[in-house]
Amino acid sequence: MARPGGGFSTWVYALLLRCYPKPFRERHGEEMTHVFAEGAAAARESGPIRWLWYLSGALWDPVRNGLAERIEDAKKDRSAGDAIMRSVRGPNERRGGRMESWIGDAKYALRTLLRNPGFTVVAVVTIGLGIGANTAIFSVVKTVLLDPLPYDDPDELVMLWGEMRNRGVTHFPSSPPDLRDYREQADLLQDLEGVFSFQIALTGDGDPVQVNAGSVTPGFLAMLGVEPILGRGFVEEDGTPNDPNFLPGQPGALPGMVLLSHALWQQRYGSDPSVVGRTVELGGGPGEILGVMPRGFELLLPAAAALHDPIDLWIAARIDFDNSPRNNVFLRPVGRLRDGATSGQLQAQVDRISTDLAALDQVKSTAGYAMRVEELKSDLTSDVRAVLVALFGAVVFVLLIACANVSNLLLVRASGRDRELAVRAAMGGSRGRLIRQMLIESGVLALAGAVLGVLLAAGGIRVLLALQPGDLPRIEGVGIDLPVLAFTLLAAAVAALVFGTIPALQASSFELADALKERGQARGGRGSKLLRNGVIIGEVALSLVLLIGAGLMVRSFVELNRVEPGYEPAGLLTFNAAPPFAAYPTAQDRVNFKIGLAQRLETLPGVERAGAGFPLPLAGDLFNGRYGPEEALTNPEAFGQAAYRFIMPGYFEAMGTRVLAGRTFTLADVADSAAVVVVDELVAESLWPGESAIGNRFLVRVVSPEPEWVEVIGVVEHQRAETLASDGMEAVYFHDVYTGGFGGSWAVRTGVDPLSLVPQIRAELAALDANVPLADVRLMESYVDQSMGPTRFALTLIGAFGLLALTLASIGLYGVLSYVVRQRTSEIGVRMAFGAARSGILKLIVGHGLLLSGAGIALGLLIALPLTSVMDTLLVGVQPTDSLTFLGISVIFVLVAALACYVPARRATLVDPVAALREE
Amino acid sequence: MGDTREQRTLSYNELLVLQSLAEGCRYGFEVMSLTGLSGGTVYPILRRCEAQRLVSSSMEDADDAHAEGRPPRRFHTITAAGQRALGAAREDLIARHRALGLIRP
Repeated sequence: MARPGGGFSTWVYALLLRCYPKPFRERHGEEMTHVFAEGAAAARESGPIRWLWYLSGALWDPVRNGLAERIEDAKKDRSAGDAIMRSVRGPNERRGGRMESWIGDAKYALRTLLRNPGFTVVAVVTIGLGIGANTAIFSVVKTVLLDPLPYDDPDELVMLWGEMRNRGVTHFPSSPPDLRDYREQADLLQDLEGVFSFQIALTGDGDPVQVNAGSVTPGFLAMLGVEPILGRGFVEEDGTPNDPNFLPGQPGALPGMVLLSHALWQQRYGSDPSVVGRTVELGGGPGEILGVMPRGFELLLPAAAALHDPIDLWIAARIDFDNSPRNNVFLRPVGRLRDGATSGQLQAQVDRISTDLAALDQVKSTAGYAMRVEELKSDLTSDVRAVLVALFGAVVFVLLIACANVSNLLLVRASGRDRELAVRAAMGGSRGRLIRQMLIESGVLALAGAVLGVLLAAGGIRVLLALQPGDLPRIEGVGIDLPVLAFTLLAAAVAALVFGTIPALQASSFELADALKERGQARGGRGSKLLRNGVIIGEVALSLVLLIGAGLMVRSFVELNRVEPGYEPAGLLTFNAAPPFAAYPTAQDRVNFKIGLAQRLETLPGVERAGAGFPLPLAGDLFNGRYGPEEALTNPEAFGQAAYRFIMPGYFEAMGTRVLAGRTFTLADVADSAAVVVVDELVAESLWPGESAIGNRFLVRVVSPEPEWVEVIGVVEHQRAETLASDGMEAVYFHDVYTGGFGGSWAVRTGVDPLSLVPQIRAELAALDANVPLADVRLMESYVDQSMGPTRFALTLIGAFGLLALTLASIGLYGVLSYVVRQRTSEIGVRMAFGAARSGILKLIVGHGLLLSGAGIALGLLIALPLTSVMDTLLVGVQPTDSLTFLGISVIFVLVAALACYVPARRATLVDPVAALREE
Repeated sequence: MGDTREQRTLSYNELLVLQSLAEGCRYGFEVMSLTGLSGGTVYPILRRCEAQRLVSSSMEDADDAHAEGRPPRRFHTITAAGQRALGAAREDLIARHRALGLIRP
């Protein structure tokens, strides 16, 4: 059958048509699909409600009738007597191979289930929700955490991170000579290469654009096993060093050897193969295009490497390894282990080298220098592992809860099937056969749930992709593939065993004679009551754990929204416009450019203040260095580590950062370029606790290799810069002119819609210098939003799963109590006949339910206490064992449980004692 | 089993489908819109009735269908045996409705 047009729903319909036997499908399938598609199109025009209504009916239709048709076919194959024997004894007990008998059992199960559509739909939807959630989350876990990285022998790749343990620095870059020493001395490494990135203007061909350049040592890409698709890769000579003080694009420098990313090649050069060998202008200096990297190639490094993303072009770094100073740290070392070497062995070797290096350098030895080896893949995913593990745990819980519900449904249903089972047993069906038959029924239910689950997951993954916070590596590759389907099947099989085993064992172990004599009551034995109650207690416990997780996320999100970041994001526009070094060779040139641009911007109507500052908070760039009191000259351990920011006058005013004492920079500070700084409240508090910081001097190391004195002219409030979730490092603000006018990020405070100003800003920039690209135009609010992304993501999903769990648990509670009420109708009748008040009956049933949920809550609290520590890194401003959350969620649970109990209890009070007794 | 088929009384839905064919419907979707039954019900009935020779069917010309940009349809006509079965069932139904007082004589 040709795949018809008409979108996803038609595709699903065509898929569901497979419920019909093949000959039927061949005869009518195409026409039915066409009719469905036309109907769907018509319904869609009458609005979404009508459409959904149509879909829900039309999609169920082939399932119900198709299966009925198949049964009809199966019946026709047998004689009437045979069919009766079959329905009584179960299929294929006498003849047929193993396989045939399994299929027969499955058909019988299908028939039984279709006879109870209400039960079947509830069970399949419940299991489908559980399996769907598992499938969706597993597909993410698989792609992000489990799939091998797309490089040669990815398990051999390691990251080397510098540490300064006495200053709490864990991801320090390395200097070229340090990298060289590790490369030469660590013989467990086949390769050790370095990478860093920067932004640079690409001019010459069309409009100037700012590109993200990945600068690598020449062997870097070959170490990953990635070759260009066009031209050649880097060779050693491409990295021949420039001047010792090489700056990108400096006049007279050797050309930068460039490999284009596939995307840049397509967008800027129209996939023209003749770009190879062409000379381009990079930051005002020459660059030579050597080749083009493969489509989709990306460098997957942990966020702590602070690389720009995506990398638009690769440049072979021209580094003089012998003459670079050891305190000029910028390289991120990535290495490849020799065959058979482990990261643990390498760590031991690296530790010895680090000790030797630290002995040569006072700063290293006092700062607690070390080099940490991490396997690339686990390092890459370390930030997101917690959220994914928590989510995976959540969906496993949801599936378990779903299983508990279905298990209880089966237990209740089994009591209605006593006679059927008894007849089968009486006619010689062994206990094993009965168990098998019931387990196959569970299997059929689980399989149907799996089919529904895959459909739900396909939709769920789209939602996940829309919600994802952008910090999940390789998330764009998530989808349903064979391994995911295999997982789904496994989950379905496990689910079938979990929800099927207890009812199967229970139902097959009964007193034959009792069952044949009585109706309904036989299953009320002590054992099965214990089972049902146990299942409910477990269910309540699991959902409570999930809901506590959700509650903790809610509290975190509230805390996050309450955070005072130290600036005013609303109305704040940020962008990048950096003066290229070639055109602006001196610091004064670059600062003059920034003064000029700020003045032009501030003349625009709607602009209140404009100020350059680098790095901007939350934008992903980090730059840090030492600071300390005079004591640090003799005792270097007194040094701490602070974020360094390089700013122009107007920066604090544009950011909306409050000045707590003293003053901020002015243009006059530019003129005398005195060594004056602004510090944040954390630095002030750590150096001069309880005193005024203004006029005090302290040590930094920013422009010279040795510690230098600077004087405090102002104290500002602390800006949260690395993430919104934590304070982060204390900060020292330098006047841009003092440090050389690097960087080119801007903060513009506006009184109007900030984005409406972009065309005018672009025009002002072009009027000042047409070769400077305007890049990274973003609202500060979007950085704030992005920083909240991971918390929001975890909150939304854990919250959704928590609510789903709560709903399932209350349905389960409701179902079991309804059953109890039905079982105890006569008892209630007797009680009422003897004068029990209706309120007493209400209390009896609600008490029963609350007892169950109380036990479940107690158990849940016990499980939650150790488990929530998994979420530690996801939480903001709240402890994993936050008592308010634990208490609050428990109270909510009691209320929901009371509600779930009330309805059946109310029904119990309406029992007519006379009728109840007569029934007895 | 051929004998039992003639004697089998039609189900209510089968009656509706045959009646709509007798009224001039030819395609499944026409039957669906006239009877209000779903495709999943109509098509199996058509097939069953065809197997019992109450209905005959043939495919419309594929070129005509493709000219209209849709798959070719199968059109159905009620056979003489179908007319007989329908007549009997209709009388039976009317008699029952009368007996139940749903139709006044």
